[in-house]
Amino acid sequence: MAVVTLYLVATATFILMHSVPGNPLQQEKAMSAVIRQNLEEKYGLNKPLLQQYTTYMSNMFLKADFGISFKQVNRPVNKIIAEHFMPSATLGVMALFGALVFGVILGVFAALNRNGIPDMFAMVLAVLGVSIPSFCLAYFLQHIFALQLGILPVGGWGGFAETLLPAMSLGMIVMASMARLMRSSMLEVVQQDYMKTAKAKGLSRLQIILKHQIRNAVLPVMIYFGPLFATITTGSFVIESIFGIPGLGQFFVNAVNELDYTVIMGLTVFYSGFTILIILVNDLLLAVVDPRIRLA
Amino acid sequence: MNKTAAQNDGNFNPSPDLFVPVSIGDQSLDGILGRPSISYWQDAWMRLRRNKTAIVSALYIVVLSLCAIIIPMSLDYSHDQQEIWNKHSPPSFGEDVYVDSGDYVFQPKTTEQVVDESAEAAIDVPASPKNVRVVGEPRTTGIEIEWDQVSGIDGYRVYRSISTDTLGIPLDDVPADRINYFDTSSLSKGVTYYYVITAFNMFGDSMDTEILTVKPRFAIQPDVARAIDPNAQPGSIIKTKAHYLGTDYLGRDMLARIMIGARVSLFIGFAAPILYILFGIIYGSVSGYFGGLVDDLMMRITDIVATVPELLVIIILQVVLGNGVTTLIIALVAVSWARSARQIRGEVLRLREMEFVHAAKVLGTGFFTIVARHLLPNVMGTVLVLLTLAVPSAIFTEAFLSFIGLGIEPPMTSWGIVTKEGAAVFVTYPLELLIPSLMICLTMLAFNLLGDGLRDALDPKLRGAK
Repeated sequence: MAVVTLYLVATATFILMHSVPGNPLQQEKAMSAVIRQNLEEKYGLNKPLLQQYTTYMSNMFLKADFGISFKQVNRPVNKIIAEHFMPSATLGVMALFGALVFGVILGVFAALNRNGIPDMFAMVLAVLGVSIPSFCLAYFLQHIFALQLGILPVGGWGGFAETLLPAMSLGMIVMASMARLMRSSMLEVVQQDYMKTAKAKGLSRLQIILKHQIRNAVLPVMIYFGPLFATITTGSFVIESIFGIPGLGQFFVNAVNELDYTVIMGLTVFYSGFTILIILVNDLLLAVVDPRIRLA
Repeated sequence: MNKTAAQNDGNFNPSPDLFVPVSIGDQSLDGILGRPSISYWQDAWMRLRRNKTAIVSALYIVVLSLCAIIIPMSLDYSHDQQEIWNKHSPPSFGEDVYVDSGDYVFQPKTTEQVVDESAEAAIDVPASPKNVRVVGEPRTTGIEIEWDQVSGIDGYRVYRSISTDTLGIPLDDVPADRINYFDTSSLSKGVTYYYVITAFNMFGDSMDTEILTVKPRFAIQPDVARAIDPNAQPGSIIKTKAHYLGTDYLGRDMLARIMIGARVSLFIGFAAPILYILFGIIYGSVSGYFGGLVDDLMMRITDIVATVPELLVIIILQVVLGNGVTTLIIALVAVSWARSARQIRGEVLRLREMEFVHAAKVLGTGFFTIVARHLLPNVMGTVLVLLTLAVPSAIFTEAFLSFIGLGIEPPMTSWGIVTKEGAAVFVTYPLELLIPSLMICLTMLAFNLLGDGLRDALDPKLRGAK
């Protein structure tokens, strides 16, 4: 299933890409006909579109080879991905799991103190979190933590400290929506009969909350978790450029602007594959949390 | 109502006078039905009205929309009118500005070059110029600096900075026989400038230079002044136009930019979701109603649309159609319809198993009538919530795209553009980022809270819950 989706995504991208007027070589100024012909031959642009398509697809799916970049001379797309994937992935995963953990904690905290001051505080934070664009948040965080307080680096990439601010800016929206979902889910679970049963069995409050309430409440939250990953990948380009992180985002935007066919294709398929993978992992996790879901 | 004995002889023939016609609001029914009977939407509206935050949010949205229409018309500025001499102005109701009288004509001052023959002067960097001073009154239209001559050098270099930490930008090189410099390049009012004059020879720039601190007086040239006040006389003081939210880096009025931006952002924010939810309704109801293979196929398509990176579709559409509001709306529709189609399909899937739909089918009602009369009215609640929550996300996407330079093209403005321009000068002029950010935040907040309120009000499960 995942492979079919990937194949269709790749095809859709291929069609979209080639429907844009021009090709990657056309944008270069003053090129003699001979050079042009040689270049076209090298990249296979002189062949019919259908043949380009089949060659590309078979290379990609059978040999996992995304070809070489048109614009960055002789640089294989596989290499670009290998070199710049780690920062993006680290950032995305940190933001996502940070958001999950803190969002769930915040939601539980709010639901357990329903209508109390902690609840109000958590929900104000959650609503604000959904309302502030990640790039605005990035600037404010940078200003407060890096310039005013000086406790975290302004940007760059390397250690753990550098990941904190970008992950926070990126994960804030997800965290806030997680917290809201978790809270309403917790409140729904409280009304269930098995909560009364648990209480009647004489379980301690902590046991009820941990084993019955949270475990059941976290399910609907996790269903939303996969799709939210897409939000993160879109937002990451701006965050990466604000904090100067050498991630994949910059390559993607530049590649589309320059019509660098192979890079666009490679990154699109890679991103889609990664998204599908995350959704798959999420489904597996869901099955672990909820024994009612059987793994197909 | 009068109780009558039921006739249980198997041949039930109720006489018409057993029934009393009832009209809505009939007082005699109170106490029997418990509460006045109201429709689903009346009930939802009642519960929404009780939700103060949702009502305040709705009011905010209405007021903002009205402001976006009215305020730009009442301002005597357009969003792209520049006052380059009045850039980064803080919020003001108009300031006093001195109209340059032209009393000061810049004359290069030259001196006789004295050749220093001493040995030490020829092998090291020169001494720095002493007694650096301002001549006349420093104004934002021009500052003249004069200094004592240094002998045996190749020239002077003038630096200007806005902090004492750095030397700043080198403005110009002055030949060795001149001892003054006239700076007219983009001076801002209210800013303190630090000038440093170094002397240089073949060994390099002089060290231990003096720092000259200058805070120029806010002044404009007479021809600029006449654009504000036709009767402005050189040497007089006039009042600038009011900038209630200040000006940006090109001296454009922030209020005008934000309000015109609100038009653009709100238009996109409403138009795109309405279009894609409309499309989602059509797609979702066809898919959900027919089910089976049709549903499978149609949902696979949405799967693929949802997996293609949004940015790719948007950028490609920009390349094909060019930048602009229309392109943005098309792009937003292209990337977002799949999600709303899925949600509506889910609703339709649930509804089509309901008895009233079966009943309609049994009666021979056609597809369009069932969808229009039975399914759509029942998904309207979901659609309304979807729409309220889609508007902030569309505004957000617009801001995000304009922010990375893929959305609205300057000099046209939108909240994304204003935010982007504000972000570039955030450290020195934080207000220019704070104001548009605040506008975006407040608007998103309002739509989110209204959406939450609507969802609660339209959910029958929550009836009676606080």
